[in-house]
Amino acid sequence: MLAEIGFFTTIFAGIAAIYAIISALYGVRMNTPAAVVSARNAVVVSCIMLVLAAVALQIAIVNQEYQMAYVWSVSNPSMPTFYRVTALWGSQQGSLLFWSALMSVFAALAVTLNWRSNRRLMPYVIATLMSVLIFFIGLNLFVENPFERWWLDSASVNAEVLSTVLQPAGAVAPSEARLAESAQGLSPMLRHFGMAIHPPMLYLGFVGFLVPFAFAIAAMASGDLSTNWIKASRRWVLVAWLFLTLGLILGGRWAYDVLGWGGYWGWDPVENAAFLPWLVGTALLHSIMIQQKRGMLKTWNLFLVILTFSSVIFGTFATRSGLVESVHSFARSGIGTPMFLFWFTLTFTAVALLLWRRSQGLLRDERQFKSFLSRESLFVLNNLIFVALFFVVAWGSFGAPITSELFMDTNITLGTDYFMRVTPPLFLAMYILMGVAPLSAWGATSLAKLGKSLAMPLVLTAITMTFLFVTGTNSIGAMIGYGVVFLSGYVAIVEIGRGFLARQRVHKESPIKSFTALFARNPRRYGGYMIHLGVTIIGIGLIGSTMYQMETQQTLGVGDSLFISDYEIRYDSIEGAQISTDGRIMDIANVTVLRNGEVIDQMRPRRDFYTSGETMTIAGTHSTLENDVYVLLVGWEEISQNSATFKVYINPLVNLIWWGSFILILGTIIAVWPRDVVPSRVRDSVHNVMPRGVSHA
Amino acid sequence: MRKTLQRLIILFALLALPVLALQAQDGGDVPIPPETVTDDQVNDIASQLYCPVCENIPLDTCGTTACDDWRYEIRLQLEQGYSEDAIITDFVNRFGDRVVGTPQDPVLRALSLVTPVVAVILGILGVVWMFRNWRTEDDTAVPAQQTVSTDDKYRALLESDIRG
Amino acid sequence: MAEMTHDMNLETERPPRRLGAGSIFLLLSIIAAGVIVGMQLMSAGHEQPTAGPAPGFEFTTFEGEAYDLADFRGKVVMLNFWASWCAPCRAEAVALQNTWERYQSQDVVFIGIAYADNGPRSEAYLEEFGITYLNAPDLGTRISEDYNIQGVPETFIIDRDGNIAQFIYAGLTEDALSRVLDRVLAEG
Repeated sequence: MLAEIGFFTTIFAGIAAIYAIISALYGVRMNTPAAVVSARNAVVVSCIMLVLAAVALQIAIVNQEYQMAYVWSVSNPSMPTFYRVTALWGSQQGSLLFWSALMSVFAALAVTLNWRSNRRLMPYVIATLMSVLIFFIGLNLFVENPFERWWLDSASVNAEVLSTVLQPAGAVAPSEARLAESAQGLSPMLRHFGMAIHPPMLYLGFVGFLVPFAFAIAAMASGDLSTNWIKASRRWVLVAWLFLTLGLILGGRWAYDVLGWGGYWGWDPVENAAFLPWLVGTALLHSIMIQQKRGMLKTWNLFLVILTFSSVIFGTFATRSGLVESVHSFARSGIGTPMFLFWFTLTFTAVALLLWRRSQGLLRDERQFKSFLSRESLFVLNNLIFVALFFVVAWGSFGAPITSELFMDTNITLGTDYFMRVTPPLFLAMYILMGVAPLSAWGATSLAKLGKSLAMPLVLTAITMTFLFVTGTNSIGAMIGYGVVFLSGYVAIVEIGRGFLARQRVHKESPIKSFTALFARNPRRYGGYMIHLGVTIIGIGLIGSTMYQMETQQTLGVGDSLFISDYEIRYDSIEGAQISTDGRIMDIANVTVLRNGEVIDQMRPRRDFYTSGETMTIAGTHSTLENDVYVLLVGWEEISQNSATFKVYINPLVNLIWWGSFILILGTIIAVWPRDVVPSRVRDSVHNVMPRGVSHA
Repeated sequence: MRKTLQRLIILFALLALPVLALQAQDGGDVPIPPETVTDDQVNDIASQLYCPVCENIPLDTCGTTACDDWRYEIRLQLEQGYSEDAIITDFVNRFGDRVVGTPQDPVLRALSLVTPVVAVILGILGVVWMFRNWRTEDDTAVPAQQTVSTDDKYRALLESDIRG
Repeated sequence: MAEMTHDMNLETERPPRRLGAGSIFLLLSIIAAGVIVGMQLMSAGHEQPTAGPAPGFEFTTFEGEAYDLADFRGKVVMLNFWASWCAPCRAEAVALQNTWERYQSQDVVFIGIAYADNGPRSEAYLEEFGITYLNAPDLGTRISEDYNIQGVPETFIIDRDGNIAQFIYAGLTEDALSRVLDRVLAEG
């Protein structure tokens, strides 16, 4: 029953989407507003249908309907309910359906929330949103269907197993017991709280960029190339960016917890495929501000939006099609070719549309660049750096390996080595800009003025650097890195401080009221400072944990210790071959961590051996703001019961990465918050709609 | 303006160079004395290599028995006194270029490392050229500004007409 | 209405730009990127060959003798990919050796290619199972790439004309292998 419900709601969603496209385009061609309204309703219908389909699949997994092939492949009777829920996106078919459902929700929201304020763009927005949606629905209906069920073909001699949605003639359902015992279940690596949030966050981020893309296409298709499309999509860009940032950080945290190599980012092609949209998305965030404030860079902004969404589609294509080798690969499937064609068509058409409009002279800048140090110039530099990072990362993950494999017949891997050689200078430049740009003004800034604003932050940075130097940081690279990162953080703090002090001088209010009012009155500016502060803290964590990581590996007998930095790791005992409730076998070591002779923690690092043959190495961690002491049980020989091999990492400042991201989230929420200074109705009437009292000519 | 631009580029380069220089430092042509080889020494080399049969997993973190074997082979080679470079080259010869993080072959190495640097430099030059274009447009843009203000006046007339 | 006036006024000042060199370059780059990615997608999807001419290769056995696959034209070749760290390979090793001993007097050649395996453990594996037919390490994993193998063990039977007669994905038994060899030998 659930399979039929899911299958047919997906089909209805597809029909609604196609109808919406036709109705919207008809409505705008024939000037029939009613048709566009009808299209909008169809968008909402497709959303409801897809959500129902996703819910049907979810219920099937939770209720253990193993006859459904997808449920059979991602769950088994021994899985706890929590992971059953996350199994919805555990494999190709389900994750595609989940993606489509999220996309349809965003589409419905985008259309209904912007209905009044952007009526002119709506038909094209609807058409674009639904065109992308119908592609993904099509994938679910024709290539990777999550609602297929196992049947035994009683007609054939060997009782062949079939996989279709609807019951074939002469086929019966296999026995439930047999299905349940052979069900595969999710890989143990996916049984972590990270599985609950990392994929949904990433998908929300990816799908979120569809809305600005749709508005951009709508602007180009309709000819309305003013800032309307930007105003409508600014918040979407921020929200999508936030989810994408969270998804990436959570992915790192998850890898840190379960992969057992003491790190959080491997520069693997699939990781980088999710990083690419983030890079251009950040560039986009900044450059749309230029168009909003100064009416410049119109062509570039449209191009950036197209590039961002194109890299989203490319990323999901590369991940799901096995284009390059990666640890994250889905199983090989027939999905590669349709996704490739979709990516190519989308990118080419959008860019061609942009170039056509540009050739018509509709994308003229309204003002000129006056001063090299003006904020718009520095934002252009910011864009340059992010696009350079985009190219460098794309080249290392895809460009070079593909080129060498196709044209030089050699398979190469560009790994951490390569990325850590080419990206640090660019990241450094990014942080420098992050420090300088907020201090420069729109239009013009003199070097002297900038210097004055930089004075206080520079002083604070110098003090911090001296402190770091005295306490042992003595490599030039680290000093430069820290210096630049701290400078940008201090700029944000000093700017917030200046605003706060200014308010205190003018208003007679409590400090807390001043502080909150500062953020409430100008959320975009101060939210932005807070985001920068978060990025700074993350940067400090990244530098510390990358440049100062220590590791060692030793085999210890019971009672022996290994020494690293000023820590002592003492191997107390081992509990070998423990059998857990879900059938896995665990080797658990008991370990004491001491520092300068004092016991600071007890840990139980372990190795899990699953019935499927997979093993997981779970570290014991002692986390403080200063560092993580990360202990792995790498091996244990039962024969020589005495010795076990441990690998220990000291990761300085790594927790700043996770804490910094909280500040980043807070800053983004503030920056997105609607300003209730001027009601949107009144604000928009000045720009878009005809003044009241004038009849439509 | 030009001077400021120059100064900023120099500043950028000054900051970038030390970092680049640090990354380029190379570790190991020195042979390891054949005493007891520690796990750390093995991992030091293994961390620069990738598991030949897994997908993109460094050799020091890979947990399969095959990887255990390969790390054992590296240990044997270290005990026999091979240098780090020799061990890595040998591994590449046996398993192909994909087992090392930056290609050994000079052509491929250039392809990988030089291309992004060239692209970034081209990007910087492009932005510089763009800025200079805008500045020269700025000088000739005065008539356009006048047009904008007449447009405003025309608009104002039109709107007052509409209002009746 | 207001927008139209705005457009009209500004646009009469400057003529619309044509599709310049930059635009053409951009569109061509997108096409080039598409072609390259498309080619990579097709090559990544390649599977093991099941028919047609067998990819040729040279190899040097563990004993140091050099051969070329073409040297064995006119005989039936059993080409088996294995590795010492692979459990299913160990399971079929005895079957392979026994089959070889029965067929070595006929027009058959057995070649074992060690995939990503060429140290002391490989030679220990050969000794353990008493393997006497030709075995060579696949240096640089080139042969394995040419045959697009996805793992080990995988076996290809090549007929006398150098074409692939059969591809066997999983582990072999003596019976199964003998049947295939008999068939291909009979085909002449």
